[in-house]
Amino acid sequence: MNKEAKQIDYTKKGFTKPKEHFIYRIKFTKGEEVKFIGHLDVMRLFQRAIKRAKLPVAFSQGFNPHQLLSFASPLTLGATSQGEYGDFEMAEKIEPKIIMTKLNETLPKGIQVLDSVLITKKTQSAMAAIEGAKYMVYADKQLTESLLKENLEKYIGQKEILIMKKTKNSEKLTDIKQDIFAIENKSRQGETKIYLYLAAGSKRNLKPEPVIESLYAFLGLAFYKYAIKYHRIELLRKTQEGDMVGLSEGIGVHDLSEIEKEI
Amino acid sequence: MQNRIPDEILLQVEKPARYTGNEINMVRKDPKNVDIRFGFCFPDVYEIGMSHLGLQILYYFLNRREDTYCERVFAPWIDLEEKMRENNIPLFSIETQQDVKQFDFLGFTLQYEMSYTNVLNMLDLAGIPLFAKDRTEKDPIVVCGGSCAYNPEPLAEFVDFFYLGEGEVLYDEILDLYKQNKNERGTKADFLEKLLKFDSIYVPKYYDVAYKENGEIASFTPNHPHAKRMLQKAVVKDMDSVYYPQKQLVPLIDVVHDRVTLELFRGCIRGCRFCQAGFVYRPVREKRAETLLEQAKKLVAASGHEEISLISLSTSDFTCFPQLANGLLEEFTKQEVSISLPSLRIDAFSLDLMEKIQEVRKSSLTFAPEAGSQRLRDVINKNLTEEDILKGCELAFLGGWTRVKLYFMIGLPTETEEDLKAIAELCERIVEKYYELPKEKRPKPVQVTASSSCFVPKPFTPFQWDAQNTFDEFLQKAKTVKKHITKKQLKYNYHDAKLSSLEGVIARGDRKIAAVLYRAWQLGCKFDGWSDLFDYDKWMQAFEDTGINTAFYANRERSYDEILPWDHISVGVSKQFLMQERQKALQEQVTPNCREQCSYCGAKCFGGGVCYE
Ligand code: SF4
Repeated sequence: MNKEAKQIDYTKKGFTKPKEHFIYRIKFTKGEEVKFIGHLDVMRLFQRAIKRAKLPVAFSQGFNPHQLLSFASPLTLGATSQGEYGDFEMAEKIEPKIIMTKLNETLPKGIQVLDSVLITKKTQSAMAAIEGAKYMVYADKQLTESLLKENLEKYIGQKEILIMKKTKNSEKLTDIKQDIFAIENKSRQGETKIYLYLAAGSKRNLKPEPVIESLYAFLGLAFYKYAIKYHRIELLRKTQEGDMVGLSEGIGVHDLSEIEKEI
Repeated sequence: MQNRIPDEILLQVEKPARYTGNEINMVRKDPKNVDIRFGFCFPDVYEIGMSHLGLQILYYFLNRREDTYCERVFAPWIDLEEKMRENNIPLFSIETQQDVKQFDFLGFTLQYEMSYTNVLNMLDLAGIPLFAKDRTEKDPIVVCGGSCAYNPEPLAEFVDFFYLGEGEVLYDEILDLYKQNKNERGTKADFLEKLLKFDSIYVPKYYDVAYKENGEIASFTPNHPHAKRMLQKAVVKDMDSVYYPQKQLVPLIDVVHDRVTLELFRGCIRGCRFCQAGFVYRPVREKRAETLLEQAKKLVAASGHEEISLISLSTSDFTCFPQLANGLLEEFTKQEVSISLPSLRIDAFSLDLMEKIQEVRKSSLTFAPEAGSQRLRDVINKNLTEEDILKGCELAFLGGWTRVKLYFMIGLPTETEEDLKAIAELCERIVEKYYELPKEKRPKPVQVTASSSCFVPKPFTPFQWDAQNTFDEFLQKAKTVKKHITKKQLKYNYHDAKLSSLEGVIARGDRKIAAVLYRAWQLGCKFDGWSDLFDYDKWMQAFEDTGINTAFYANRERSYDEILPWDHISVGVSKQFLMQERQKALQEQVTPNCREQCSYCGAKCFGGGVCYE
């Protein structure tokens, strides 16, 4: 039941398989109310929501069939998000909007489907497609708006930004500068907020926490891990033209009638 | 809803979602719009409490009343408790995340004796005086129910009243009475007095206990003209018409049992003499297969669960079992909902069924012979012969199972070394059975695991008068079994005798045990059912500090004329019947089950169930 749905490589799978499945990419939120549940919990929660909503989900073959769902990059416990993604395989072609409305009727507070797209173009799975992620970070009281304003330029202007990257059995000094696509001061009304745009995915992956930790170190502030809040704004993929767009953009249709237009 | 615990703390404790609620089908009400706030307290962690069927039923039962808001309260795990105490955060409810001290009722469910220190600890965390006599009008009324409430005495000093029996019967009347009393500006004391009209409500303060010099009870007498001499448990007569929720709380995190639960029947026809549940839940009352199918459909639709579990004390005894099983198969196989069958006897029918409806993992099959020899199985009235077991194993082996688990008890009354040796012999015979099969039917080596737990004599069983073995005797017996287990295909595990010894004291305890519980709690005992937290030495110190002798409660045989601490309570089954059963046990005579032949145990007085079939 709790097994992680295996990753699907859509370029291989495509729509030509004898048993036709329809893959929908779902974008959803993970709000305050559910920020302490883990990645597997989110998956189970969707499996049950799909059952309650009676959606025509596709099941894996074999002894112990499970719903064919896969999810993009897990979010750290305690973080919120408005840019979570999952790929859901359906056994029938239904209106993408129906999936969204039916799920929203039954999902727990804090989880809301924002977008639902029937994938019609060759694309990678949500997990494999990720190349970037945007975050808003809510700093603690030590980091005042003015302190940030004065020093952000200096921080990002360093020749290299070194952090200790921990792997299973070693620690390595790593330069993360090239993985920070953008860092901006978004503070307002006394609340210190930092916008981060970072490399993400299987090739290069930078989590927001080490960035903030290194910023605090740069500013000579003590870093209290649990005092800082993270909110994911978006997960992005790279188009063939090289543009960065949200994971559900440009891969399919919002409306079944668009399919005919495409042909 | 703002979490009661700040994020910074939640991020530092294990499984923070234990404390944040928001589950599917959680009841949301505005506390301002209700008259009664009821905290359903489960004295253990969230994952265990959420798996408890009684909670799921009573939660919706109480919340179906517009004037009542029932919220859940669990014992915070030690990591959070430490932070709560550090930061002066009192015990709070899941739903509104508010302090429970302001509630009207705190209702604890008592499922095992080893959760009693958690009851005390939760009261303390809530900022409520532990002893009932110290509480004021401002404090909630503390009520306890559940199977351990049938011997309420160890907790009597901490509790305002005990509810004896099944919750659906009286709670409406009790809450109406409470509301009426409140409207008439009656006090809490007035309310407790008014409760005396119920046969199934025990208000300890209206009874006095006197003791003999030797520690036995000299007298147990009501001190209020309306307090009943004899109380009787409340029983649902008709299981088809009784309230059953149409939804279930669906947790957002992993819990112990996370599935649709169908309650097939209450009670058990068998009458195994060591089993408290087998007596206190009498008589057997079944639901009809149609009722259950209807409930299953609704619950699956409302929860999205992928598993249905059929719950009862002995599923194979359900008279409409084939009809139910077929109905469930028909309805749910296409929906990819699996069905699990705990408490099933292994025979040809059930194996066939398991092949059909369970995820066939062929992991291991479980038998509970409880005793190794036929003689001792007759003593305990466990109607399972060696032939049944061997036949069941053979069928299982032919069906592809190669692992068998067997559960035994050591320390049963009349047990001898021969009986212990018989445990090993029975296991060996199962291994031999496997090797009698033709070679092509034996894909893998067979593995038989025997586990033994330590027998704890419980109130309302025929062994309620018996002496429990001492800790050393248990250890010796486990060693004896181990000595005889030699084959390499056999494995033997035995349970910690310390916990069972302590359970033996509390289970048959009287009001004097309160001092020990209180002292143990002061010394830091909590979550005693968790082997990593259970601290036997602290408990022993608590006994020493309070001058309570464990042997008096656990290792002493009582005479039939001794007043037992729970003698003022009737579960229907008469004391006379229990005595008779004990005599039969000593004579190694078995008693037929309720469907073979009624033995006139006394439970017929409830006017329903198997006694009238
Ligand atoms: S009265 Fe007879 S049928 Fe009823 S529970 Fe007792 S033994 Fe069973």
